Amino acid sequence: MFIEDQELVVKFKSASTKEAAYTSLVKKYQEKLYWHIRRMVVEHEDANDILQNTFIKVWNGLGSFREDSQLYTWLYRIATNECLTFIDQNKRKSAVNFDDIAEDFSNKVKADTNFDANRLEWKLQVAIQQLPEKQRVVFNLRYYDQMPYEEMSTVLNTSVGALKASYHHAAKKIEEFIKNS
Amino acid sequence: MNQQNTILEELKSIAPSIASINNKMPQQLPDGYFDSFAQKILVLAKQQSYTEEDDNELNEIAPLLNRISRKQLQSLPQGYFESFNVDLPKQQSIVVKMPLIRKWMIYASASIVAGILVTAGFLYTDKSNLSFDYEQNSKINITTAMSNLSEDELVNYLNSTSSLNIIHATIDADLIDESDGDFENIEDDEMLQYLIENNLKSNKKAS
Repeated sequence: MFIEDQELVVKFKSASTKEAAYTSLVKKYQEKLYWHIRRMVVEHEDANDILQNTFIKVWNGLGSFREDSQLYTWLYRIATNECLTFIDQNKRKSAVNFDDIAEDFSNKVKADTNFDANRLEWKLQVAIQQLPEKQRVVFNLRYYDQMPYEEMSTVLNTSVGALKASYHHAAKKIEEFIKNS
Repeated sequence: MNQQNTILEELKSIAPSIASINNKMPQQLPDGYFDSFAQKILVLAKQQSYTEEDDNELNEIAPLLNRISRKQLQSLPQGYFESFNVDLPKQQSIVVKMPLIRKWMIYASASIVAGILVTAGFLYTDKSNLSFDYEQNSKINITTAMSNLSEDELVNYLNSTSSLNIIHATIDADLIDESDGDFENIEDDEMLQYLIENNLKSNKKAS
């Protein structure tokens, strides 16, 4: 049974219980954050690096966490920013345009050893990679993490209205892609 | 559960075909990936973060500072770094004033070299005027030329000092017969006559 987030934060701020609290926090959120990251960057190795960076930032920043937002939205925010930074850095390194990046991520999905083009779940994965990064984040947080728009607004620093519109467009695009594939 | 149903209904209204897809991730995780992940990340986080000593130090000096976010609050003008440019100062060549003495020495050296070059050039170009055309003069028949000269012309020529020097230089020692007597008492006219006659003889022998 996981400790409540508030209790975790309090224990982390105490020197004697800091490490235990941190370990508990990691165990509580490691899988959720991992899959959120992996949906964005596709490959396990990249997801592993970003996940580690995310938790290191949590270690450094949790001591000054002001608790004006929920802990898990704060964690998702760090993880999302790390993903977007990673994707942006890759774009600059290879100096490619968006279409090439989308194709690159789609190819990474298809390169998975378990990839099955006939299965809808795999088609959905390929379709999601066709979306622009921020639209992809919105869709993933809503579709896979069941996140309310209000919490998503805190994670992405975007208005609820804009998020709803973004999710609407994303879902339509994915549906059309699957139908045409 | 309520949230899940809400999202499902929302998706059915936007894209019904997606709503029916199983939303479990098809990708696999490496076996045992999360077994010791928390412990590993704790070790890594402690290594990469600032040390606990730094933490304790600030806690002792000013604990309030540890609780304040280190985020920069000041705002930047829009697009500041996009048009950021460093105006490097133009490198000016350093001018070193030459000492006066050194300047005059250089001028003097230059003038000497120029003088040498001019003199050499002058001498080289004027050399042809001093050359003696041996080839042309060797073709002249001296006997004929001498016979064409008048006696007065010969006397005048022989009376000049330079002429006597040339004559002395050209006298063939063999032509002077010691048995001819004492030369000190011989008159100039007689000497001249003697030289002419002997010169003619030597030309005849040569031919």
